[in-house]
Amino acid sequence: MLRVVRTDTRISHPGPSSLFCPPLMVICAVALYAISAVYFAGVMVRLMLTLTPVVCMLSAVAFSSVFEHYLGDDMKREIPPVEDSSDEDDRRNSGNLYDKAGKVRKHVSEQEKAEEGLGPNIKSIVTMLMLMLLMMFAVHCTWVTSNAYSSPSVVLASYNQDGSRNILDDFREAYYWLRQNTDEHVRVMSWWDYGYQIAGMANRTTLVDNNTWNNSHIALVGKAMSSNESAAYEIMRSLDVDYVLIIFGGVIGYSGDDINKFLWMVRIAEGEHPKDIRESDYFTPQGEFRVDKAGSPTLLNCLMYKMSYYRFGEMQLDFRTPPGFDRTRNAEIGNKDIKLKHLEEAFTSEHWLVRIYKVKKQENRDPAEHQLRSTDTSRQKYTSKKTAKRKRGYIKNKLVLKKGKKATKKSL
Amino acid sequence: MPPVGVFTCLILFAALASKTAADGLVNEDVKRTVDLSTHLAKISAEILLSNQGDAAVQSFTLAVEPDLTPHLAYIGASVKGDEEEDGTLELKQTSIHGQSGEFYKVQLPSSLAGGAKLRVKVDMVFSHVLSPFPSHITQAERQLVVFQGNHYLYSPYPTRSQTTRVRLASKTVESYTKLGNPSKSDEVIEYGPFRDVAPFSEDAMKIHYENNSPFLTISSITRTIEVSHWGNIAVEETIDLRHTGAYLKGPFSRYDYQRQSDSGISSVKSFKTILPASAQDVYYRDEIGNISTSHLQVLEDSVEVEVRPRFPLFGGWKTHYMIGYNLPSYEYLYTLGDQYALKMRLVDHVFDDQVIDSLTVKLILPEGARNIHVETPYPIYRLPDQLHYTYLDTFGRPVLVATKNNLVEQHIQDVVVHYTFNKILMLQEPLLVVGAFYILFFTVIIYVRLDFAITKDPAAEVRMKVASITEQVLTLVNKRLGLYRHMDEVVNRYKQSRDTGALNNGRKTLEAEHRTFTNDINSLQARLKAEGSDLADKVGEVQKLDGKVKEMVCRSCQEAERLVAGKVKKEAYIESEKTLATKRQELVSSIDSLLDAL
Repeated sequence: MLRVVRTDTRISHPGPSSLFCPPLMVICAVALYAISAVYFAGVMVRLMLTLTPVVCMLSAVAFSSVFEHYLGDDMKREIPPVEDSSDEDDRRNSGNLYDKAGKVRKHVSEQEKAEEGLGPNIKSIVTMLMLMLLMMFAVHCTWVTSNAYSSPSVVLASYNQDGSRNILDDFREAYYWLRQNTDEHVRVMSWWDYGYQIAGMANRTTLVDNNTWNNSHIALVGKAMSSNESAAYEIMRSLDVDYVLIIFGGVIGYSGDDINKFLWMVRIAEGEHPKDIRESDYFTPQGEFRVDKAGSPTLLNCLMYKMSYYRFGEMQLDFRTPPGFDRTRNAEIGNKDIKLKHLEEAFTSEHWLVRIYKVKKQENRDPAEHQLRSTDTSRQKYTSKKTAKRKRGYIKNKLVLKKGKKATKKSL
Repeated sequence: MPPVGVFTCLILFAALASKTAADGLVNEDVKRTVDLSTHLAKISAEILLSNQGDAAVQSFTLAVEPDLTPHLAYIGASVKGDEEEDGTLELKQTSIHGQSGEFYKVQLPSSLAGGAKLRVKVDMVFSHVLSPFPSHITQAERQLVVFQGNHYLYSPYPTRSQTTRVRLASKTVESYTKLGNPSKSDEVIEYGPFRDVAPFSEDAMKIHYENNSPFLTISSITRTIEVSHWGNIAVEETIDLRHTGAYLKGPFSRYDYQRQSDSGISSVKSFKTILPASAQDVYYRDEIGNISTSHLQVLEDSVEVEVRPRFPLFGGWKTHYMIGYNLPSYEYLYTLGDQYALKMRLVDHVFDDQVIDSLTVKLILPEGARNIHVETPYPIYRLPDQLHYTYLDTFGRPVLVATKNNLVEQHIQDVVVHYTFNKILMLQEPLLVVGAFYILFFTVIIYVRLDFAITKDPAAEVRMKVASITEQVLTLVNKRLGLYRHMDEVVNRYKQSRDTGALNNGRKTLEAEHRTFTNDINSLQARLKAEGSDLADKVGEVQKLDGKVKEMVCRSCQEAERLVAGKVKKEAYIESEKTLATKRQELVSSIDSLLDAL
């Protein structure tokens, strides 16, 4: 093996170098690959995958050359004494063992060349350091794999001050509730980010999911979320929605919730329905997006806001903050008295992270908004119109044929 | 009712009365307890049986009201003796002509002579008899249930005197039937005493009360027990759980549930499952992964799992999960030669006062188990056996499948499975692996050794031949060099011992072996030449150099001889020896370099 490599180097690189030295073209290719991979990994973190092979290659080259330098010299240093002893052995024992001495002897001729190498201490230190680095890297990789890659973002883990772990499993709690306690054929409306999760974990139909290839679908959902309740109810009825699922992080301070994503819903909805939804309506006159009292009334009455903060206004999380204090946005919510007319709370997970609302079926008859007209029936008394004279009954309001007179020429 | 009907009725009654009178048994004193504090109705009765007839009686009959029979989960009778503690009696289902309901014939431990008395205790457990009323409640409401039963003991014998005590779950009672002006204190309603009740008398008892105890029902459970003779029994239970109390009406408000202690009072947050003390590697999961809301507590005599479903269970809500663990087989598997007996619980504890609507037990025995025979503590419906295949199975493991409906806590009893198993079969799987690896390696060996090339590559073949020949040359040359060293040793020894014979012998063997080696190398050289390799020249060079070395060795030998003979002085010898050694060293190193080049 070693011999093969050496002949290669002689072909490409007739220098005295004994290190592994690939041809120039190979170096160029690897360098180009490395540079472009680094660039793309910097642009988008998922492209880290393309960086991986070249990092592996380069580190392997680095380690192998380092080890070849340091370990190779060590070997030459160590082996001559071995040869001597084996020679002595050979002299004592006879016969077959001689071939060993012959094989070893070929290094004797090279021994002089290695003399100008580094001291054995530095070599062992460097080798140990490198091995340590490799071992630490293995530990580090295990840690990264278990923490960054295997730790699913669907389960939120937090650590207490004493180091104990707190698991917030709200997503799966709510998804499993949907899976177990709703009809198999219900349709769930949620922002598209949770589409695959709902399909996978809750096994329910969603209106939109992560496979979004045009905006019209998600725009409709965004429109429903950003409209007021009755307008949203129209949309939801036309889409046959049974449940609405939203993510609300205000209780635990989870920043990736739907209110924080809400502006995107508005923007996407505006892109498709510019007449109904305008992004500027959701900002304060100063151009801020606020959920507290200063927030725009459109925002404070839209469906997403109502669903997120339904009954949250009563909730006091701790004694330093007023009731209805949103920990994610650090604000006391502006609309604390939220009444839902067409929706009802179906499920809220333990830390309020996931809230599921049921879309009520339309009532048989809409209750009248105004006071019902009352007629005073107490004074009216039924009086029979039958008299002794007229025994025949009659039908009230019966059409009576009024007999007219035939117009005659005479009367004319 | 027409008179004829009344008449037949009377006749029937008279006939029955005479029939029961034939037994001569009378319930002298009955203390009934109806425990309605959980979601089960546990009715127990202490009956003082007295034989008023002349003939001795071997058995007596227990009766269950026709309304309640579909809900009967468990019935058991025991003798409440003073000396012996609760001798359990055997029950056999019978029927009484002309009467509806279920009847059980209880065999008495000893025959009851005429005029003798015996105190027996009867336990019955009914499931799903407490119906929530109203059937739908909101989260804030409390759960009210209705129990409909019998004021009297339903018995084929006349009863002289009886009392009925009803234990409720709470003080709140909406209504209850007021037969005989019962007294109510806190959670207990006392009826009676009723005197001289006719056989088979029924009087509807209806109690409408508040019961917020967990109305949990296991709608189905599949218990899989996998026995391995390598020392492990794996148990897995797949459970479908349902809250069978009043349905939740309207919204579920997490705010109320968290802030008000009595909100959702009838809901179920968690329960405890008790596993065997030796349970290990307990897991609690469902389709979407581990359920992180459970706690495991290892106690002295059991392992307690606090099972918390992912979400609180309200009326009508259901959930599904799996719980599994491993048990050491030495605690449950008994063996005698090839005979094995597995003694395990047919159904285990899931929560207190459990109700199992449908149980399926799957017992997976090791591959090769035969003559399987099952002893169940109570009748259970066996389905046809199945086969189960896991890793390294060839003809499948036998699976016993059995089902039973409507089980309660009293059914946690042991099942015994006897089977025979040839111990040699335990080696089957390791041998299978060994065999597979053997075949794999053998194939690789064959593949490497044989030449499957379609066309022959003469150059490669020549190269390989040359390589093998050079290898041989190398070993031979090395051996030859070894001969010289050996000779040196002989000479040294000779210098000390002055034994000419040994020296001559050594020289002779050296000559002989050297000749054979040289000849061998020559022949190899010739073959190399025949292959057309330029290495032949190098080998020739080696041969030439070797001849010189040989010469040196011979000369050193002669020198030594002369030294021993006293023909040369020691200093001169050492001098000449040194020059010879350096020359030899040079020659050997040049041979080495040549060999390296080979």
